[in-house]
Amino acid sequence: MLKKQGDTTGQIEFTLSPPEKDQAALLAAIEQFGIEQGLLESFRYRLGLIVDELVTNSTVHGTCSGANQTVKVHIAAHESNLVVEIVDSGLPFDPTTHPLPHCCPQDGPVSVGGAGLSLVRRLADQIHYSRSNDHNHLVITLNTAKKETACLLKK
Amino acid sequence: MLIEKIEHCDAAIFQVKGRLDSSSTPELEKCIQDSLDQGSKILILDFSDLEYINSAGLRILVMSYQRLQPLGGQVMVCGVRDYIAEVFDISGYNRIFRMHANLDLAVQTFGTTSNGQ
Repeated sequence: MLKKQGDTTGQIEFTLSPPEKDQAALLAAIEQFGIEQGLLESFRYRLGLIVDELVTNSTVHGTCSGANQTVKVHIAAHESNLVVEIVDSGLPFDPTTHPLPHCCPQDGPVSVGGAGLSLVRRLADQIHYSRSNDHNHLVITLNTAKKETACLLKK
Repeated sequence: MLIEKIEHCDAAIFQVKGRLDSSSTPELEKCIQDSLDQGSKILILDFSDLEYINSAGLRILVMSYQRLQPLGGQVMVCGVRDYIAEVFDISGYNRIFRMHANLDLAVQTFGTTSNGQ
């Protein structure tokens, strides 16, 4: 069941339990949050994709699924960045040190595993992992100012 | 997600609209597999109206490439929005798929390729 708590100050929190059931609702709520915060479509995509991949990673690879497991997602919008915290009760897993697949050589063998994690690490500006109280804690920072400036410069 | 198949004698062409995520991926995967099972060696995906794709969606494209590449086939992707193009770029998949600005250009290129020009 997806529980959502939010206010008008740019923060929102979701609790998924069991985590594998409500991911689509979570992503829809994050998209709506992004719209309310005035985030660009490209930035909302980046935000949703990072949360999507990390929650999927927890439920599929971290065995954080079932009625006794939870994934909590907290998002706080600040002046120049967005901070996403993801806490799950799955097996210990540090996405910041997990080996990434090699990039695709032209016409060579292509890896299909690890693409989600690779995207997360390349799209996030900072990722910090810790393990405490039998939970994985991830803090992801996305610099809104930098991305929006980049878009303006493109124009 | 909406999938529309465009009839073409030599290629499997799909227009994919909306969100291509973990829940919608199996539907597209089945459509593509059916086409490849029927002998299509050229797969064209028109993403002009695609709003979202995650690694599960990308995985289908890679698996199609792995199946077609040894047969001399190819996977073409066209019309992707800028922010989705970035994902193809940073994942390196833009180097194995033929990326085109729109479906017309993809079909033209394919026609040229199929004529051996």
